[in-house]
Amino acid sequence: MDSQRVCLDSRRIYILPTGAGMLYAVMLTTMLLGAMNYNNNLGFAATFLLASLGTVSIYHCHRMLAGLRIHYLGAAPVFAGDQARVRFTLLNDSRQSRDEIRFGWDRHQALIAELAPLESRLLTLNLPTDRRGPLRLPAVEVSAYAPLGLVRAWTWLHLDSAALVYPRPAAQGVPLPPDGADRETGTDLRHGEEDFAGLRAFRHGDPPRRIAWKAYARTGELLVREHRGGAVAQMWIDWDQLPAPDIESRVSQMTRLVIDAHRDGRQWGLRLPDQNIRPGRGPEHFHRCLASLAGFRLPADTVIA
Amino acid sequence: MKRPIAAERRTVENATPAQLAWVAIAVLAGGAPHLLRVAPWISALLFATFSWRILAAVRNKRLPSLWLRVPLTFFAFAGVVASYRSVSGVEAGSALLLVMAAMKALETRSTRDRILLTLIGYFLLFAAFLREQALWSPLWLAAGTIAVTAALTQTARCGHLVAPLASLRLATRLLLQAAPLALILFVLFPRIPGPFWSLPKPGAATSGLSDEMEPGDITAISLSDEVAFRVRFSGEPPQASALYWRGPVLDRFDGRRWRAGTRPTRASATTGASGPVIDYEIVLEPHGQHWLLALETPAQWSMPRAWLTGQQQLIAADPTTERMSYRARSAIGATRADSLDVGSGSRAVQLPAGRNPRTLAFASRLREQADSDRDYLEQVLQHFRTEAFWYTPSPPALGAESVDEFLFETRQGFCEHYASAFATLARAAGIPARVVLGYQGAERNPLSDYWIVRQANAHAWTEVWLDSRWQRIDPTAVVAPERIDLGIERALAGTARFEDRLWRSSPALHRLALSWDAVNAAWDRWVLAFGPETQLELLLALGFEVPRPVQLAALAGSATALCLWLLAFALRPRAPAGDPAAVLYAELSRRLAAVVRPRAAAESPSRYASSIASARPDLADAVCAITGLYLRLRYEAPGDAQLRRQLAVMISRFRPSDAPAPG
Repeated sequence: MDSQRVCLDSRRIYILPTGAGMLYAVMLTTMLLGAMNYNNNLGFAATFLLASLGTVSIYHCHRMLAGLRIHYLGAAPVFAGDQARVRFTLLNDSRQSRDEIRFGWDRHQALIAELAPLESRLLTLNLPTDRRGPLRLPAVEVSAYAPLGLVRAWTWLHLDSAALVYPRPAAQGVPLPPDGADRETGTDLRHGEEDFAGLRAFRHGDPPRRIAWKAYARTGELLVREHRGGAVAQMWIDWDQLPAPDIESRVSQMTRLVIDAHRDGRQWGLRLPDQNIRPGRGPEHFHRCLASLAGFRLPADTVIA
Repeated sequence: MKRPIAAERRTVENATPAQLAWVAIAVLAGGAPHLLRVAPWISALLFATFSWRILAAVRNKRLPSLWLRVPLTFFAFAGVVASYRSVSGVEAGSALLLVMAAMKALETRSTRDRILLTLIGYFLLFAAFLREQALWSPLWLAAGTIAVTAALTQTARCGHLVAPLASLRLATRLLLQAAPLALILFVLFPRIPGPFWSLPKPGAATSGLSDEMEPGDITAISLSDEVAFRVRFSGEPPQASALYWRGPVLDRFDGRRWRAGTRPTRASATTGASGPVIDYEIVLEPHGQHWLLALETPAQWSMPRAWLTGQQQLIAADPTTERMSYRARSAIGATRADSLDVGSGSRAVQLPAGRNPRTLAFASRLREQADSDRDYLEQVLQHFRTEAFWYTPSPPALGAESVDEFLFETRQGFCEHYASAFATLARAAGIPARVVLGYQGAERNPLSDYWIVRQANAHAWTEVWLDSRWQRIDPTAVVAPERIDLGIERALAGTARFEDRLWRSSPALHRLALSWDAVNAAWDRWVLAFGPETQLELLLALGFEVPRPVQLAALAGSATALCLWLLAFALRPRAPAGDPAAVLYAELSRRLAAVVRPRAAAESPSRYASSIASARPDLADAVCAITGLYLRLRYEAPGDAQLRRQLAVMISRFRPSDAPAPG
């Protein structure tokens, strides 16, 4: 297992000839036989020069990878069915350029990075997801064919990391539970929708429909309407109150509800059989709820030991 | 310009015009030496298909369908067979390669196709040396290899191409790094003499001697300065008049033409030669024939697959198709105990009935007057000497009775005419006689202590069976003694080719020509004729005892291994030498890591220092001082030698203890 920061060591780099390399070897053998048959010394010279050239290219190819630094930057959570975007930095801190480093989950769909001396590049690998829960990252293949394409140097990066995959949200259709079904957290203080109380500066996570667009047009500043009083728009997204038949569709529906509540700027709490998340709102709360749903009663084979 | 994007997707499998242009460069760079030599339609086809393919890529046209390509390929291959009447051999082989490349161009799309074409470029480069090996060939090898390799570096790329100059630079660097290993392999790779299979060689390798002679047919002898072979004597070189290099022996005569015997027999014994011996090394130009040249009379030779015939002719099992070198030892003026066996003896007196009647009549008249065979031959030579015979390189043509016409009408001829007439006269008197072709004389190159034998030195003389042994008699020497003593150049001053005359017109020019030949000779000897002999000589010169094959293999193996290790060392991955200040500071962090904690990757030096200071107040002063100095050296006065020394001293004195000191 590799840590988040890896410097490729010479010993872990494998090298084998490519198809072109095999053809090159066949060509050299033919040349050698020809030179021996005709006792042709310049033929020998050409054969040996090309053989040495091939040999030198092995060292160069190895050098493309040896000492390359790779930093794993993480993967932002996505909903199942979307592509997880796994980000890396490739860092070349040597004085030689690294040509066409192929970087990807497999050889045929790799990104190609050209690294000049002392240059680093950000690479994002897309990883398809299909179910919720932590998705262990597959091994990353790092390979190089330069300079002649006769040999291929490669290594595998085994990252001990996982991308978090949120449940796939259910299609629209399940109505939100009514507000105020539970008012245990009091009646004051909360930013309800009844009385207009004034404007305040926009904070990340405020629902767009509460932005005071007229004020924005006037001042050029993003302001949000605040209301005071009345009942707090607060709801519980409750495991037990959903009608779905199995765990997955219920999780899916709850995810939909969380997304909708967050979109509408409401306050919500999450009630699962084994945990409760107190009502709240904002992106942090939103992601916390989704993470709980992602990890809720996972089938045994997807749990990372 | 760098591309702004971090990475790019692999391109679809369709070649861009630039990629195709590089492939064309590879094929043309490798194929250039062939393009002027092959049938013109092949060159035209190659140019046409490559131009068309590149144009198709520029205009985004579709490639021709299989229905067009298959018949076209078929016709092209049929064309090669029609033009060369063969599909093997260097000529037809390179023509086939070019046609293959031309046809492949029409369907080239993928990287694989392009790599294949580029490798064909390498192979064409190689095949060019089977045609010609000149002094400039290594330059061509280097230039061609760089061009094809540059094309290969571009072809191997799947993204955008690099600048042409950058790829040429890379190819040159690779070539220079490959050169030492290539040289080791070249020198130490065991050379196995002899071809495994014989393929037709390109023509024109049969210049020089032939194995038959027909005086009167050729009305001018070659006076070309072309080199036949070069000789290096290990001891004192013999007299010019002893330099008879024996080649084919002709003993069958049909009245006009002399030919060699059908099946050469091996000499019964190779011993018996006596007289002063001389050792020499010959670098023979390829003549496409089986015979080897050697001084009269060869006693030992280094060629493993060569033997001496019953006629004392040195024959190799394989024709000489490349320059090669061999050493030989000859007994000069040997009196060789010979025997005249029945077969060759009867052949040596055979004369066609009814041909050259005047000669026969003249011979019988002369023989009656003579006391002995020896006296008779002496009188024949006397006849050449006293009568009005001329030595000329361009005599008139002769008819069917060539000996009659020469002896009694034209009386002008060169060595072949005299040898033919003399041998006929000897046979007419019942004395066994034969004609020997070879070279006479040599020119010493004073600059490099070797001797040059040119085609102009080609000569014909006779051998007669007298006193129970074959004895050389050179009738030409009687008519034109200067031909033998001075060499043909001076004997024929004024009749040579213009360019040869030019080089001899002044001593300075002649010296220049000889210097040039010395360069060529060194090239021939050390590169073109480099073989088991030269390899051995080089190893001996380097101080090795005569190595056994196992030792040679071990030497080659260890030298190769050493070279590979050096390459690995020279090309080892290296991190850049950092800022010296940073190197020193890294030492501080390493020492602190052992006693407190290592510096986190994102932690700034000053924050690290204050954190250490609060954890270990006893180290605070030293750590803060070092950190301050480091920051000054790094950001305020980079490269300040005094500050750097100060920092080095402070860090070397900084030895933090494991636990805080009490008090």
